[in-house]
Amino acid sequence: MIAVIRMLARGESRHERVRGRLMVAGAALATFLLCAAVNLLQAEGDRLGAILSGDGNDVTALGLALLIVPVAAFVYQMSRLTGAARERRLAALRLAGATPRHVRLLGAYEGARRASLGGLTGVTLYLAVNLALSWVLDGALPLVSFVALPAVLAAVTLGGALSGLSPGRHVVISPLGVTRGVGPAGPRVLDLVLVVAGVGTFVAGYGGKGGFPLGGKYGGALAVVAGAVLLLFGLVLATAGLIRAAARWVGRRTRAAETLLAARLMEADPRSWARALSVIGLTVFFSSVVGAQQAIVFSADVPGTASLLTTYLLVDLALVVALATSSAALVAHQVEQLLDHRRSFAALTASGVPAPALGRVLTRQALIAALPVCLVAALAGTGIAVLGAVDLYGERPGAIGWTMTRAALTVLIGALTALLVAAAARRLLRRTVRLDEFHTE
Amino acid sequence: MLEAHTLRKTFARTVALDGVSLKIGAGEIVAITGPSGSGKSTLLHCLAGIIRPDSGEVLFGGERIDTLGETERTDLRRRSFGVVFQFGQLVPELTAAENVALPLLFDRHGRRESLRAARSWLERLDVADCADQRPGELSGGQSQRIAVARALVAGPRVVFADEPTGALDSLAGERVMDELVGMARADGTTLVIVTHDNRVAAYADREIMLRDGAVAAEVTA
Repeated sequence: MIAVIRMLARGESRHERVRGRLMVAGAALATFLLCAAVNLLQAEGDRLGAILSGDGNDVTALGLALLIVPVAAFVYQMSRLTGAARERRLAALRLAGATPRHVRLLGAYEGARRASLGGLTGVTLYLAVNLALSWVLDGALPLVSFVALPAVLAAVTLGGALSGLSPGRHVVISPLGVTRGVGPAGPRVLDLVLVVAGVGTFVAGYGGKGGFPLGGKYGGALAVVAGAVLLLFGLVLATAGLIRAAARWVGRRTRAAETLLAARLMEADPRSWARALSVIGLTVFFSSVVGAQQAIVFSADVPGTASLLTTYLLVDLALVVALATSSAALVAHQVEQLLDHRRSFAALTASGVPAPALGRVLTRQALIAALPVCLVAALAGTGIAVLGAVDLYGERPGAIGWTMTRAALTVLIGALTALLVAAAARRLLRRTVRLDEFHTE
Repeated sequence: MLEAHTLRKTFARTVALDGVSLKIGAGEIVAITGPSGSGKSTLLHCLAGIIRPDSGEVLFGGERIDTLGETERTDLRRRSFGVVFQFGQLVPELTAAENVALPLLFDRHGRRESLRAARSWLERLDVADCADQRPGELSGGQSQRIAVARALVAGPRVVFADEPTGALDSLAGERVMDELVGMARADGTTLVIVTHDNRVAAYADREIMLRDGAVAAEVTA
């Protein structure tokens, strides 16, 4: 088996090698962030207590740990690049006698190898930065524990192996080749259950203050928090449904060929767009929460407001990093989309569809997907934050302006990010959609 | 209608076309045949303005098209040419009717008008029942007839077909050819077919045989 893996590694194409390097880089970044989070947590004795009392280190550690979500999304998107070539290779291996278990093992080995390589790079980099900072800050930052480092490395490697276990997408790899399923799995009704449960729990907790039937005097507050968390996860799961609904609505009404094509492509496979946009949606959600909080806290003149500025600045910085990372994931998604549709697009080009028109298909896809996702995320985030803050500080009409402006800006930035990535992919479109796709001799 | 003068085209070190010259008249049905690797598809792609020859001239209606820019050649293909490939040309996510309507929609025709025209072509090609189905739900023969409808919907003056029956069984292939040739004759459309199948070539008024990138023989029916 190892011999087969080595032979395959030797025969990798240039694109596969680039994908491998990107995955290693993503794993290195995830390891670095995880090491930083662990190190900051180490600085505290009573971690849970510190988090509850709002200690800065722990909030930052939590933020760093959360930043792994976009990095993981990035690594996942990278792992999907050159999928078609890999699937063909696996089908050829099946024909040569490999069992489905062999195929899964190959994927797991490949994922683990790249994750461990990235993990080692990340650990080395973090150790260097940690040592340098400890020296500069004269011991104010403790050295990361040598027990924690192998644990982080093991976690990252395990993540890589698990992600490689599935050969990928909605394809069946058999000795006869690679076949797509009847159609990619669409959104399920189950995805909406969490949204409904979240809203229900939130409203029950919020409305039943003081008289909430469960959990004693903190029952209401716990229900509000649980409702918000459920709603957040529910929104992520419901993204595919939202994108499909938006695409269907647009597809039925449009007169433009570009918009029709964009809408139908997304209606057929909303899940890939949902995966690519979920982190942008989360970023918009948290940004709107922070915006509403900022507006209400500052208008309420809470003691210690000035010190909160640094915290908000750090949170905004983390959100920018999340947005940048999720943009990279979006780029990978665009590349994957172009590779998937290259034959159809090449046929359209041969039939006389101008390349700029196909470019417009990409930008319209981005708009159809990103606008509803960002709008719903901003509405949910703002709603939760406003209700929570009004409960704590009372109604603050003066805060409405900044809350709404920030939410609108966040939606705009989220949609613009998707749009810019799509616009950038137009260059790639010309190189991907080659008419020699149809060259039979 | 369509002329080529001493076309030459190479891919890396392989000479695909080596001084091909030919003339195709309006409404004529021409088959380009030859063994694998003889340059049939390359010749069709040069004639259709999909690729540019390294040297030589391609004229359509007396005007050179090999010197046109990519945008002009794209417009020409959309407005004056129709193209049918062996497989993989339909957008899997669109319904059959939407696939056929695409060239009209890209030419800024109204949605209703385009879909009406598409359905009318699907009826003519006897696949009206498939109008709301997606390519994945259709047989190879049905998909190919829908591709033919898409190539014809904008009223092209020339239709280029590259191995249009290559992926079909003989019965389905025969049906596609009957309809493609029937429509072309009815509308006076020029048809250029690349094939290695003698039964397909038999539909043509003239057969141009290629060998090693050059015209080896011409046979008029």
